[in-house]
Amino acid sequence: MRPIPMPELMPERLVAAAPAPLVAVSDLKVQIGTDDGLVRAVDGVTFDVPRGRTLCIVGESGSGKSVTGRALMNLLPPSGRIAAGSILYADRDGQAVDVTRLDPRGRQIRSLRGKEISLISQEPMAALSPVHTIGQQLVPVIRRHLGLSKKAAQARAVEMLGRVGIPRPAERLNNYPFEFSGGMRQRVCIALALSCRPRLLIADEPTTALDVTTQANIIDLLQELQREDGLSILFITHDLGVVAEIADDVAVMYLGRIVERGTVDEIFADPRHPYTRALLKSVPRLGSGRGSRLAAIRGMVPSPFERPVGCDFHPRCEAAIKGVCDISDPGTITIGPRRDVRCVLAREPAALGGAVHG
Amino acid sequence: MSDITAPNAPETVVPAARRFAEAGQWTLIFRRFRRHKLAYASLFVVLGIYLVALLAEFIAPFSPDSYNARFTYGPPQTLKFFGTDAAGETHLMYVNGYRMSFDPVALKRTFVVDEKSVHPVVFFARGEPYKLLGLIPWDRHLIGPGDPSQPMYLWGADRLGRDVLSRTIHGARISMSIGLVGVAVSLFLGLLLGGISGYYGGWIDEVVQRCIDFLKSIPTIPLWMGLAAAVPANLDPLLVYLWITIILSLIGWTDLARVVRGRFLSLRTEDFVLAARLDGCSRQRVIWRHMVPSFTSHIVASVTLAIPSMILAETALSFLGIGLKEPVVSWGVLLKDAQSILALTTAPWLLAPGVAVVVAVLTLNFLGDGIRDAADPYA
Amino acid sequence: MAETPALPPEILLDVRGLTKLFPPRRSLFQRKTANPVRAVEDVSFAIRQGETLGLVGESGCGKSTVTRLLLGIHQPTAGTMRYRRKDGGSVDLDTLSEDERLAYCTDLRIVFQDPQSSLNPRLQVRDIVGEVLKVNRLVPPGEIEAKVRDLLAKVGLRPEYARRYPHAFSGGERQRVGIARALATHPRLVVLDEAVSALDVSVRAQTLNLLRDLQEEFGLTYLFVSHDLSVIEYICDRVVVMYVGQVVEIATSEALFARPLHPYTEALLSALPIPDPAQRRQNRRIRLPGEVADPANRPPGCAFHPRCRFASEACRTTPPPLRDLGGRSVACHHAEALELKGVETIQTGHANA
Repeated sequence: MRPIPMPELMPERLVAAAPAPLVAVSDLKVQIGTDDGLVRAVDGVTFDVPRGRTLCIVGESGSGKSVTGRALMNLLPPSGRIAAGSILYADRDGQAVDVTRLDPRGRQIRSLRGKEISLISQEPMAALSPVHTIGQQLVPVIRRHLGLSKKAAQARAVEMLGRVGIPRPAERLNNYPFEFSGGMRQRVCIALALSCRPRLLIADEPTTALDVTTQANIIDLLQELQREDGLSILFITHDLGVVAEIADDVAVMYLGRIVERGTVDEIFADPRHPYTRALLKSVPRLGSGRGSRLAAIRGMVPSPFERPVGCDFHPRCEAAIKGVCDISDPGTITIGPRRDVRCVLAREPAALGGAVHG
Repeated sequence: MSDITAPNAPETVVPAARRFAEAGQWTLIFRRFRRHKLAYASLFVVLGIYLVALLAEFIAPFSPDSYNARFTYGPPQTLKFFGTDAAGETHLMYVNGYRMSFDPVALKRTFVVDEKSVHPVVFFARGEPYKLLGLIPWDRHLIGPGDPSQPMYLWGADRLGRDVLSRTIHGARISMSIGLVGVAVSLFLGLLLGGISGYYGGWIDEVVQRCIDFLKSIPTIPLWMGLAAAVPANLDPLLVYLWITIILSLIGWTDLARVVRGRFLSLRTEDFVLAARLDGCSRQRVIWRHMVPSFTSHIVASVTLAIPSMILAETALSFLGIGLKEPVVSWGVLLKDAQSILALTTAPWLLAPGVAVVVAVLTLNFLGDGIRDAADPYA
Repeated sequence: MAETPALPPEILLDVRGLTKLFPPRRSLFQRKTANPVRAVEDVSFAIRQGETLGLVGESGCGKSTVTRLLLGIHQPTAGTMRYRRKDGGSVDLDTLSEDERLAYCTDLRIVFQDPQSSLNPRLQVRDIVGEVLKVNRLVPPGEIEAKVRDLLAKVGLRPEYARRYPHAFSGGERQRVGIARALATHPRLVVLDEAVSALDVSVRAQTLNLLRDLQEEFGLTYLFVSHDLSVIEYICDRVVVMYVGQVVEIATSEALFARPLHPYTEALLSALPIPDPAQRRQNRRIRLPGEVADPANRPPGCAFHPRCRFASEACRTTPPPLRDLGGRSVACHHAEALELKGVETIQTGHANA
């Protein structure tokens, strides 16, 4: 599949904003076959991953955030497929490659994965082979993508381990994963992911299984690596605190769609979608003490087979308007550059109800 | 508690959803099993084979020992439809008769199927009397020659002129049931020892596991030969049958014990088992009410997969002459007739029982695989 | 079962010097001399009637082991757990045999962390929740289902769900079933072992509110174990902070968060991500070097000293005792001298201490 030359395909907004985003996802739809039928895991999402910045995708279970992340590398489960949309990745030569058009098992996508786009996920023990040493896992990857000799690749592996903060890296190259603690293993996974200097790192809940203090260190590490290498990060999480720590831009997902998108300050200070507001209100804040009561979102996330008619969120929404929200889907309403909201009340924050904080 | 409301789906909930919600483990397992087409089909084949074994006397045209010296090593007669016989009558089903021919080079008398003679074959033919299910005296057979004096060897005849098809059908009874009985004994031993091993752990577990290791490391064929040789030669065939079953199951229980032990070990640390104990349940209750139901499906799968190895083992033993012997009819005993090269080249249809063994073992394996894959519907 | 001096009426459970050592696991890869795992070492705290006591710490701190010891799943190596019975007398739980322990299984209940594995997938909800009632013969068999339906309604589930199997429920609903099971016997003390950690954010809020309401309605006492400090602050009255098997600090929730006395507590508070980017940029985080210590290989002296920026010679050699300091407890040699930073309270808008 020949990569599509950039100028023919560049949408207006990309030309206007500079520099161009690293990844431009447009109306992506992913379907996954399950025992109970075909699930629209991702149902038309549009977003950009800017260069050298971090985009956080926030959502709860069933929101489709993990599937979105993996779709960027066309790494879907066997029963999943990209049904529609495009994922334009700007490679090192300036060409835009549509990941959705590449054969999921072909050579082109395999040269992208690991070298240009890397992934770390929640459980480091599952990502590392228990029967190989760290060196035996790092070195072949480096050799394959960068074509270095064994010695050079080993030197690079040691350098990488040092950069992620593993003490005595040359010795530890011969250790097995179980000889590392949880936080260390995640660092090893980061080293593995970044060993070939990719331009995009997809981090799928990498700190969820870690202790608080370790989590803080990993977040610091990722930010440092971003500063030094200009790495773009797509960080997937459900933890709003982590989002506030690490994100530059945020996309909030619910039932396979992005309900709100904006910079981290915009989302936290001025959330326009009732789901975002409700999420922010339902998280206990350090310092607020026992006095206030958490405002829980009523009801539960519906099954993807029983999508509500009209707006996805309306049965649980405090500001739902009868006759409007239960009839038609609001669609994406743009209220600023790269700021959109899927709600009819997007331009009327006052109508959304009381203060978010406290 | 205003913000705690019942879940979203209104109670106009689809009946199917509620059935699913209230479906116990066996319903879910069966549903998953049905999706495995090969296993589902195999279920029917296996049930069919057992049905045949149960009603062998009826289904087989002849009894296993009826012979006809005139037709030794007679080749198989194909079942054909719509033929007219010498008397001018048309019959629905028929077979061609035999014509004797003399081979001057080999100086041998052989039988060749005579295309011209037509011998009718009918349903519910009258034949040798028997007792259906051991109780009901009858003499009709599912299929048989219209004229009892005429031969009908659909799968050929053996060296005594006995019908291979009938003998194979009767052999199914012994071969398939030996699997069941053997597995029952293995199941008992496996559950008991595997359960003790897995539940108590510690040194008990060590001892049992080392015993299993020891047993598994003994070469099976010499062990069986040794044990079979110990069985008195002039014992009643039925007792011999029981002995062989016990011998086979002595080895088979080890795999089952391992499965049971593994399940117990993994269940011991599950929160719901702990919760049961903290509810005040006695150890017995925890085991039987909370742990065992979690792995009965796995046991069923293991048992189903153990039966084929019993069948193969019996076949092997009898084939070697140290298992069941004549006049008992099992597939292994039948295959013993096919042992000589001479027999094979002149009468290859003697291997038909081997085909039956392959079919039975394959379908049982598919069935067992299907059950095992469906066994954990919550995974 | 020896009669012990009665506890004061406001104390429900008093733990003193609780210690649990696990024998080292023999393995081929154990190159060092195998030390026992000091999962819990000399832990002391008290739970007051009607309060919610938080037990917080990271992995390896021993909080789960403490709950297992309280419930009788493990036997302590040393120490006492004195529990005040319904009749006012006290009993040392650690002296009870396994069978004698069962007598208290209706009074001390637990809600587990994982909604997937804490409910038997082969049983219907009415059997899961009703099991404790049946086994202890608290309710005649014919009335168990009605009682279960009652409990389900109390936790916000439809009564007709009693006939359903766990696979039909979401994580949050299953956790509610677990709560119903814990409350079935009208216990006095409920241990919540990371009960909301495995739930989605929005469901967490619902469940926490439910727990608060139930506590008020039934006069329950909670031991709330968690690693999430913001949840702890929301629901707990007092907090016990643990590190590698030992207690490092005990204080009321307000005092702990406003002004921690132990450097580890300070680091924990500082490490917690705050869902407010503006505020986050103002705080400078304290970076703790190294990883959480291994309970099988605890550093000598104060277990925290390798990571502590105030560590002195005394810290490297002498383990600090847990001592009283102005109504709070702390295990640090330098507690009086340190001025540690707490959490900025959102209402006041400025940092304390």
